[in-house]
Amino acid sequence: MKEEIILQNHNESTLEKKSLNFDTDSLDNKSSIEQLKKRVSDQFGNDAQLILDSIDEVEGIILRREAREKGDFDDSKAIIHLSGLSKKYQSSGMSPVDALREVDLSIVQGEMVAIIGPSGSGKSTLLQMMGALDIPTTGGVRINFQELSEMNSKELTQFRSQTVGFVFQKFNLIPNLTALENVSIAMESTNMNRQERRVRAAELLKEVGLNKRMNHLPGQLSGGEQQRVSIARALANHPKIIYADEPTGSLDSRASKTIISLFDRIRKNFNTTVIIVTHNHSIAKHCDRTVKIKDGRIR
Amino acid sequence: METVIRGARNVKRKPVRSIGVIVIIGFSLAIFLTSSIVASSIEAQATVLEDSLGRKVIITSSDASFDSSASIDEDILSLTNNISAIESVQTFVTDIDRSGINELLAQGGSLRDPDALRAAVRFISGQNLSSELEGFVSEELVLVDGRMLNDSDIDSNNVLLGVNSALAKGILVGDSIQLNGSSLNVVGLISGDVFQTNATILMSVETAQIITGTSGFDKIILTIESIELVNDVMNILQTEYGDELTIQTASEQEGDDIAQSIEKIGGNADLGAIAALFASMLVVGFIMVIITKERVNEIGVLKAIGLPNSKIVTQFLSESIFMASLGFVVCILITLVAGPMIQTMLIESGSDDSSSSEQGSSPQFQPGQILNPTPESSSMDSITSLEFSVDARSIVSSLVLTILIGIIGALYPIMGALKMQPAQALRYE
Repeated sequence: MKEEIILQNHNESTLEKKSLNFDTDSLDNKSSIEQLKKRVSDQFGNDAQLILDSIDEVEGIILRREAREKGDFDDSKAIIHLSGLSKKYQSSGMSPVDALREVDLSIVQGEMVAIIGPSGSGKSTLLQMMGALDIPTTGGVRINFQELSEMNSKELTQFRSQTVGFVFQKFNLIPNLTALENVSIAMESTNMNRQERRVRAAELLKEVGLNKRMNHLPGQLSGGEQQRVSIARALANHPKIIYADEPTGSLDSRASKTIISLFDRIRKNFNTTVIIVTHNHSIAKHCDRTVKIKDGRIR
Repeated sequence: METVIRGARNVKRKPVRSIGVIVIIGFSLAIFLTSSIVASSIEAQATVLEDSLGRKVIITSSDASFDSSASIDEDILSLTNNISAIESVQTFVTDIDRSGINELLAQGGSLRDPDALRAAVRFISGQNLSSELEGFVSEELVLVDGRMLNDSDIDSNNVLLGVNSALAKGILVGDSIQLNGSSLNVVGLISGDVFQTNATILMSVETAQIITGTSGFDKIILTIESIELVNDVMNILQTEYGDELTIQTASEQEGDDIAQSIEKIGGNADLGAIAALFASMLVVGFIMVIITKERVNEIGVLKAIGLPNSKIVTQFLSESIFMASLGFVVCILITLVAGPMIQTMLIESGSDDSSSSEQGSSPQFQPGQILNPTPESSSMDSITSLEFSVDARSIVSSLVLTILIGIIGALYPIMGALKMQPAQALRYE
């Protein structure tokens, strides 16, 4: 599939735009990637770096795909394993709704997976099952080698605190807490004292580029900044998995790109598994794998 | 602690609504607190009055009227003196005919208008000065000039004159009043809360007997040592005097009206307290339900990020208790400012016009009441003039109630939210 990369010239007075077209399907090995990089450097000169960063991402995707095809990813070692997962919603006076039907899915540590599908396909429900935000009607959910159905309420709370992190479409920050406090609150169930929590929260906010906005309330932050706070909060307890439900749904394209880059960096730096629910195919392209879902079934 | 502080901070999220809630809580609690105070005061006063009224035995002639017939024979005193259970005996010659005032001599012999004096004096009566009531000293009698009567004035012609009568007619201490041919010497001017006190002539019962030419009494009041012995004393008297005399306790004679008023005031106060309690719990509970339902989504987020239920409950409880506590502060302020007025309303709602102590409004004034400050004349006065005083017990009970309101108001709605799965709470709108 052809994808056009558009580079905006840094000279704002001329607004010179350059572009380079290439077919992503042709990037099927390391050699072709190196050839592409050379073409970009020759054509864009000093302005090539952004494009080269993008190509690095594509290279990573290809490498992981190659590894998977070689069998380096083993389902029994999957950090997320769903078997026969179904979820039925029942409302009084209405016929039941099958949100998920017999879903089987395995994801290994370090993968970045996009779950993509039309509205009402069950994407968010699937994420909620994996994140222990809801209980399946039937089927098994094994996360980090723990069967969620065997956990009691307290264990599930601890699981949500220690093992996973959530990023929501509408950010869901506490409105009267500062950015620092919103991140710190996620660590209240740990043994850290108040000062330690604040130090860690400050580090995380710095990591996501908000070191100068720590004491601002969510209402004083832009959408992109709020989402970055949300990501910092999700990272608070060193989770193995981050679930992001339409993380760029409320953001513009520039902010969206920043967020996705952030996820990728998190995955690389911390070997965190990232699951992104999205309807945006361009975001899916940044992921190792795309899982398509429709009418509650994995396609 | 951080969770508690966070809960308290949440109060200022919607300041206008929070202020409204705090004021409503404060107002409701103020009504409860005031009603409790009044109920407590009335209860305490009722206990005192019940004992006081119950221990007083009033003896009058069976055919007594308001003329000075003095129809209780003085022989009764020899019987009462032999009953050890009797603590004190007060004897009265009451309502001596004012038409007997025929002259007024000022010091130096100048005459004053006897008709005018007659009009200015409402009651003339005598009481024994050797009673246990320390002579004429009582809470209701205030010496304005001269001196009080004492034991040395027994059989004397010395009298006390009500200050209104004196002032109206320019009578001073040292002047004389001619009554039925006897010259009475004004040794003191008195005033009191009951207006008749200010328009009366008081003397010893012996002097009154001389003036009226009788040896008996119009009324005798016995104070019994304890309420348990009252019936025994009454039985002795009734056995001896049967139908000649009317023998009853003060509570039987006058206390029913008072008891009914006390019961009514107390009932209104209790009703006010219960209504205020119910209203405040309803209001706070309703408001907390709304507040919590608005924040079910927030509860879902807190659960999703792994905050344990205990911390979520602590946060919302802190918010609710903090708001209720601020309401308590408002309650205290309202109580201090408006409490006396609310008390007056409650008392007036239950008390009879006849028991009002305002001057000129006591049509059922009984002869002898001036000199007998309890029970009849001052019992209702002691109720209607109850001082509004915030006691520690009422404050503590209101504070406990405040905290309960805060706890129940928050717990009930939040428990429902906590039972939800996080995804369900996140979807809640």
